[in-house]
Amino acid sequence: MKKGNLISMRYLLLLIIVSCDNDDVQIEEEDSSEYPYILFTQNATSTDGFLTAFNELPAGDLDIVSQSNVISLASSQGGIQFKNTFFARDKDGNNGLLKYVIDENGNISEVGFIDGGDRLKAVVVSDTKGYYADFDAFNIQIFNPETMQRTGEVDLSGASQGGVIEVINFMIERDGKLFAGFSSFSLTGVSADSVYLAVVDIATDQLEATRIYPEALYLGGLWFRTLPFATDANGDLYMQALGDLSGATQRLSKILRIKSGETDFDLTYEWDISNTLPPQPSIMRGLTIASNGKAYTCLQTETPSTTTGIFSEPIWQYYELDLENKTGSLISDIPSFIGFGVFMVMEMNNQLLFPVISSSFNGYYAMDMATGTVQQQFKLTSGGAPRSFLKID
Amino acid sequence: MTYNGLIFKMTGSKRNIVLVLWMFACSSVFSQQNLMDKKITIRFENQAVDEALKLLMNEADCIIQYKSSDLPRERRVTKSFEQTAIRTIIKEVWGDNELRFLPIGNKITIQVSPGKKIKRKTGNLLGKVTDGKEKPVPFATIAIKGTAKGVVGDADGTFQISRLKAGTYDLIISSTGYQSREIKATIYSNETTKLTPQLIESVSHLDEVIILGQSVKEIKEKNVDNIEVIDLDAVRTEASDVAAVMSRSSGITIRQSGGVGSNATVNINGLQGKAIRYFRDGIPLDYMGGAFNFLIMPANAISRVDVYKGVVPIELGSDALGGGINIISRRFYTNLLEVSYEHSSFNTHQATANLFLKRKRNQFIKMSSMIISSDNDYPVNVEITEPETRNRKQITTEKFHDSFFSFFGELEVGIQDKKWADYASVSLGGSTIDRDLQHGNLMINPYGEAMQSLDGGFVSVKYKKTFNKEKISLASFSAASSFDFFVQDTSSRIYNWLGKIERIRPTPGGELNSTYKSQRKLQTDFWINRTTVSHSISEQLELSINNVISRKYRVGSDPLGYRTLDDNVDPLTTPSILFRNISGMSLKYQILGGKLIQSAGVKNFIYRSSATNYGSSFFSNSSPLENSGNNWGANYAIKYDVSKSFLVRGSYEFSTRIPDDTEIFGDALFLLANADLTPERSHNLNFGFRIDEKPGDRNFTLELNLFLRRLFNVIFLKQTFLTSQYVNGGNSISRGAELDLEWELMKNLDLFFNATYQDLRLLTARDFTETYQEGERMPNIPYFFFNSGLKYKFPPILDDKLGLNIYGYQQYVHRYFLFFNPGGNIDNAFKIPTQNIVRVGLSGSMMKDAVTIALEANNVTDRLAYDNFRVQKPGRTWHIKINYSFK
Repeated sequence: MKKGNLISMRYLLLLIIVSCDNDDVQIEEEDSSEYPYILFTQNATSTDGFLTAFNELPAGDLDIVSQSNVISLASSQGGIQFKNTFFARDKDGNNGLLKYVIDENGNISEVGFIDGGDRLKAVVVSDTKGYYADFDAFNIQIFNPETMQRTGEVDLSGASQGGVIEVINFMIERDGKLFAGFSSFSLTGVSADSVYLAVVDIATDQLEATRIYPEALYLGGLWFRTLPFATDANGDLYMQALGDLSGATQRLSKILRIKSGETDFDLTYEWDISNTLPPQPSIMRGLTIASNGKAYTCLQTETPSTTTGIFSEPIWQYYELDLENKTGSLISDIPSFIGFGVFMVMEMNNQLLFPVISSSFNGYYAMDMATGTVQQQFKLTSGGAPRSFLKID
Repeated sequence: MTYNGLIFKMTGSKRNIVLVLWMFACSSVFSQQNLMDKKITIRFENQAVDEALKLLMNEADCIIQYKSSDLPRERRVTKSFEQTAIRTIIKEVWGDNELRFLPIGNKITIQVSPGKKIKRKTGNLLGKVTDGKEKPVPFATIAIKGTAKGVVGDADGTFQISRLKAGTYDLIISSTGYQSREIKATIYSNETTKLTPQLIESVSHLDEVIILGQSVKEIKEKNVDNIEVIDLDAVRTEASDVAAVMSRSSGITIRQSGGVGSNATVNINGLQGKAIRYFRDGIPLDYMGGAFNFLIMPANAISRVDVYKGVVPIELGSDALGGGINIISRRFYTNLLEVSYEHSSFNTHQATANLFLKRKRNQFIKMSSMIISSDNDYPVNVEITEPETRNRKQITTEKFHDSFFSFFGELEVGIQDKKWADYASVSLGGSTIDRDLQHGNLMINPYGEAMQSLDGGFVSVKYKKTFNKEKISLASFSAASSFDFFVQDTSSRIYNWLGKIERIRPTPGGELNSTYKSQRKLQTDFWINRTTVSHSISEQLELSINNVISRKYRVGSDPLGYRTLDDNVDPLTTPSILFRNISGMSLKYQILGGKLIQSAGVKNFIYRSSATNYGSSFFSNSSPLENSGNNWGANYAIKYDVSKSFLVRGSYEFSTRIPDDTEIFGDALFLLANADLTPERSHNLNFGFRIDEKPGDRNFTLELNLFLRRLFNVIFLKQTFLTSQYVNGGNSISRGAELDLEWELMKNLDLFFNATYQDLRLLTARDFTETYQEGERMPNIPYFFFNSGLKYKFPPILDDKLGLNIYGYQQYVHRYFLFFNPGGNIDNAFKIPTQNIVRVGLSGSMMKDAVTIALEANNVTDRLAYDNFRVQKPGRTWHIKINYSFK
């Protein structure tokens, strides 16, 4: 990797550590939406994009800007799902958390907004409780998704590692605990050579423990709209440490584990994935688990020809992982794609949906989870590139 | 044939014919000697030359012939001749010792030597415009009909036009509130013709459209170039700034990001930003380093603005892609001190002072200065956040950190009409701008402490001289400048819109950047030379050659900013250099007595830039960045006067815009460098016609201009993640029409109206995921707008001691979208709402116009005003302005 890219990674991490969670929410019986499929898109040369909903899994060519229920977004950052609603970071440039609902005709409307700070991420754990964090403070805010009002905060001062900048990278809920990966930087943007995890008890909203895993960098620190933490069906929580190929401390991406019922790292498990799987050392993006240790991610497989090519050249590919045996294979039926935007592999309707952005295809591939067959699911003919695809209840 | 008493018989032989002719010639010379040496006594009493020659013919019993165009009409003779040879008398009467004569019989043909003819070519015109009571008419326009020449008179009515070719001209004298007059003036070689034209106050009608009608404007707008002349002299007494006046013109929109002193963007025929180039008296404004922000200046700070919508003439010497704006400084002819002061809402103060002193031997001193200050604490509708629930609620509150201060001063010392220079001067100037930053691009979260400033100075030298009997003219301008741009962003406090501190930012950044605080200082050193040579090859053909060479050097530092990881270098300390040389040549050709004028030109653009790639924090690698190019452009324009009142005009330009240093090198923070940028190009086509009629003896002007601009290899700002970068990509097209109407509706009441529709659409997408945008209207650019205005001048009050005008302007901009909105389908699309702003005013003059006072209200209906998405402009504002001239 070029030196420029190496250096770049550290600062990209510092500035864009952000993600959203959509896993493991408490599902309750409620009216299901007639338009459950939610698609966010974003233009490649600007920040704006579109949001629309479908009543069935879309297929073929999609001209979304012609749909009657499409809305414009000044800043398209994707969203997270909870029951038959979903949440996004902003719509018109305001940082915060926005709640959307969809009516029976597929019309999308906003029903609440909580003002937040830069690079906000959130997780909803119940009808009346959710958490969000942003760059405005090193703590976790508690909110009520029903009323869309902040209700309190979790004090993380006990988790501080003394860094000048300490920010939450990603949060996930499992078994009544909130796991929040965070980073601690010096003023020059140098991170200590460890990853940090705050464990919060959801019943009391108290910091329960701070976990440290050495010789890894940036727990959950990933790109927009990726899912760096994932829970297997057996309850094991797998977490991605992004790594950093720049500076004095060079670390590749690693996958770490917290076993079911535990709140600390499984020190017997570490997979230095990006040093072993792709043709060259690189960074992984995202971690989506289908089931029973089978997971999916994408890795950079080529060196970009220009310094900014990491965002603009088709040098990324999807891999299927066997987490238990620490092996993986390239999903060759899905073409390599450009590192702009989204790498959130989503599971719905017994399929895995892979976003792909390339000059030959701009949309989603689908993999049949039973047969492993891969095919093009839908292709965007308008609206820009895919940003986030959700299925609400 | 009888000749001189000798009789020759013609023979049929060729030899004899030759002989006869030879003898004829010899005898003629002999005879000439005799007639020319004939001595007579005669006396002339203040007689014109032609009258004197008539007397001489009678006295000498001969016929004297000459070309009437050679006649020195200005000359009058009072002299007695005692027994003086006819040859000597004629030379004395004519005032030319080098006259030659061809006497044939008793006829004497006078031949003016070629050298003398050329010397006779030019003279000066000096005059004073007064009204019927010999009261000076200030700022009258003196225009030479059928040419682009003209001047604006001074406050005391005096005017001067230098170096006019000898001959008789039709002058159009006009001034607001007076009937225009057309008078003849004869210019004699090497002499100054004095005129004292009188204008009659408009009682029964006005001959000019008061609101915009100025003859310089009219003449320039009737030229081959497609120019929109914004005559600020005509609104000098009003309390508008330049941006407000310009935005009333067709084809031009000016979008401001807030109140007084806020950043403004000019859009001409759909193109904006860097596609438009700015000039001051023909010199690219780059050397002023952003200090000469003409848009925020009071209207009386400059004379006029010429907006080139078609071909940008090679004399302007720049790489404008979408048009050029030339700001014409005010000119003075007599000693004058003029001061103005304006006070307006939100503690806004604007003052100007202009001093002109003319000394013996044509020395002069000119001083211009301007101060603007505003709190900009106008009410805005914003949202604040409830501390506990973090829900937002809308409130109306005043801006609290948006103050602006600007000073500009320039002193020019020079001479005019010397042997070694027609004009030479040295100027020293300086400026300072301090601006509080209230918010970012969107007016969402307020800043409470961030600010920026720009300070610097410049020195310039002007030189003009004509050579070779004024066939060749040389003009050269050189300038050097140095400006410091400073940004201070050191606060960790987070403010709300009530101006209260909400909390302390947990990250180490400031208000503008959450990662780094900033005390960024960028120093830009600039030098430029523009040299223009023009050659009048003939009466019809003129050749101009222009060259502009410049160098920009930028270096900076930020003690709190980003450092490269490997070697701890402040990337701003690495200098960036941009060298440009733009040369051009044009030919202007007119036939049919000036009815048909054509001009054609070619331009060459050479540039070279270099820097080190520290300038992009995310991708810095210390590698050198180099970018260079050599490009060509060409243009052609034609105008034809179909009749006295109807002209048609068209132009084509293949234009080029060179990427600038910011586009290539970035900003050493979030704007990434791109050394691979190449120039953007466009094909510009204009066609239009103009009608000047006088139905019912009232002025009526109608102008329609159609334009087509095809842009390719466009440089645009691509936003990637948290960074952005200028890249090439996408082609677009702009088509549209502008309509201009000026009409003298009735006695003392004038109207203007203009409307513009510009359809700017993307032809080729900038990314393969955005092909759906092809054919769609380009976002965030107004596409339909119109302006209108009415002005009424009251009849003279108190025996003409007081003058009073009342006026109103209306500006409509149709809503447009912030982003691409394919087919206009999207209901919730972000839009900049329709604006319809009305400005009204009342101005009065007294003490022979030495004092003028204006009262105005802008946005009188107090509507929410936006030029940019969610960035609110002031509502209703009140203005009072006083202007005082000391003579």
